[in-house]
Amino acid sequence: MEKLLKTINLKKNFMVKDKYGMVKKINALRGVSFEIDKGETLGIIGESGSGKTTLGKTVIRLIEPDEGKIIFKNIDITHKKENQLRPLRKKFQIIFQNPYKSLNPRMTALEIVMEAIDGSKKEKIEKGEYLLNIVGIKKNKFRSFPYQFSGGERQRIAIARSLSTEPEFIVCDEPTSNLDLSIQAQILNLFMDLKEKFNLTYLFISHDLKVIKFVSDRIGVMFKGRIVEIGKTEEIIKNPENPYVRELFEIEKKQFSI
Amino acid sequence: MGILEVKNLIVSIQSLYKKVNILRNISFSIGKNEVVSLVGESGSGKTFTALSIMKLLPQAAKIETGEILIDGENIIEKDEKKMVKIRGEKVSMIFQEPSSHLNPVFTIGNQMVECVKGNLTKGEKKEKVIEILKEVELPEYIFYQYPHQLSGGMQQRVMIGMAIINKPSLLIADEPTTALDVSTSFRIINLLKKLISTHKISVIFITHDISLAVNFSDKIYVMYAGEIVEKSPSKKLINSPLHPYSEKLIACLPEKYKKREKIKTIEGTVPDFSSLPSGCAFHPRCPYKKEICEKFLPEEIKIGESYVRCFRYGKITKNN
Repeated sequence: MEKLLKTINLKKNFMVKDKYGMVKKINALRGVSFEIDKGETLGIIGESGSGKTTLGKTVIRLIEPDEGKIIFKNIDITHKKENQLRPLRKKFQIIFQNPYKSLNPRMTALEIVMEAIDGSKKEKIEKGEYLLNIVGIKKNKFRSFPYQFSGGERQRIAIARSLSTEPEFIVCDEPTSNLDLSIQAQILNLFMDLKEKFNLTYLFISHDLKVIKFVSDRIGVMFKGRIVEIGKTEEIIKNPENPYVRELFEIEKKQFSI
Repeated sequence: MGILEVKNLIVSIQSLYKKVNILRNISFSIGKNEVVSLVGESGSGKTFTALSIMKLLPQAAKIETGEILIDGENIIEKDEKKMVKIRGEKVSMIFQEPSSHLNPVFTIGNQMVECVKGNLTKGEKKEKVIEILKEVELPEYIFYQYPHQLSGGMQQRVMIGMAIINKPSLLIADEPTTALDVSTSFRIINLLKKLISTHKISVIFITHDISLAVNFSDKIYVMYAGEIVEKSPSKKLINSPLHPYSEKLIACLPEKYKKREKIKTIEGTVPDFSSLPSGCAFHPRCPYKKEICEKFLPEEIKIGESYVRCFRYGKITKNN
């Protein structure tokens, strides 16, 4: 199968000032390598601070890596200049965790979705309305502002926006962790529908094993800036090799099994 | 007779133009050593139930009618002075985000000593705090540290320590683990379980995670739009829910499905309190809707060990 995205030994350090004004180095990524096939969903699970979000942002170059390579569709995009990267950027998108912060409060839902579409105004509106319709926003709310929507609806708008550039690859950074149980179910269904409809590839980041188990074909477990285990969902769940992964699953079994 | 008894509690909130009831006729009781979970989506009134038991409601909210009996005493009539005594000694509460409930400019020891009630000398109070720190599995030097020096899990342990230091008979835990990691939350839950059994505390556990509630508590009360729609023993609720809302909510759990299966979702959204539907508040989203549901509010019906408010199980009605 075609490899859509490949990373080789990604590293990223942050320099952070701590409370006393001392500069400290944080190794957010310490050499992460993985591959994603086309049409596959790779789930990334890990505790907070394990580098999940940094990884998600780094693979689409929202954060510049210190070392390593990112290869997207056989093109090395690690050191591409921003103007060269622009046309490629349309092919990968990201959906953020908090839909209350990721939408511009001064734009209507339709404007948010239209912004990145090319073409005449009429085409823009047509496509924008088509996308909003697909994600399940009611027609009479197309011209409402973000504050008039609930959390679930906002996340739907964010999804429609990410689809507007016709991407092949979407990074989903904990897209359901701010949502209620019933809304989470709706959004997960939407993700699965869209995947089939547009033949999408997901990098799905979450700390919730139940969600990860449901959406992903393969799971990667992150711990302190490394992927400590990666493999097919069923296999990893059945017999995890890494002790940290085993502990994580053990907890899940004890605490949440019904 | 239970530790806590809530009877026909109605709480309203005054907004600029109108008054809306956000708790609508809630009645429940909690027995000795019982662990009860309140489960529901955000905006269903879980936290408001807890706050009215503590009498810590925001200014705009008001208890309209009803009784809240703690050890047989009705706390609604009590003034603030008496409530201060009840809080901590009889009921105490753990909040969702420990970092925002600890004072950043005082040491942990300082804040915990402040919580100790009774006529004790400074030294005795300190001894008591250190004892409690040991009990919540924290080292002694935490006493001299500031909140920012602790991790989220440690801060939550401090909060738990503060809550149980006066040996209350009822503990309210409002989503104590949602801000924490999976493994940290596991340890906190285990600690809570241990403390509950050693101190024989009754607990109201507020969560939106049903699977956690099932493993943690004896009974689950499901809330929807300011009402308790079902009260069932935990195992029974998850295996054979009675109310359509509980049934639908449990069907939303992703772990119940195989990959690529479609999750059954609840149609529609949670209603706004200012424009609640007539009759049963769940009827616009209910698959078993009957004509009667639109007109009347169902009364609580006892079925086995469970209580449910739904017309599917009988026709006792009250005019809305």
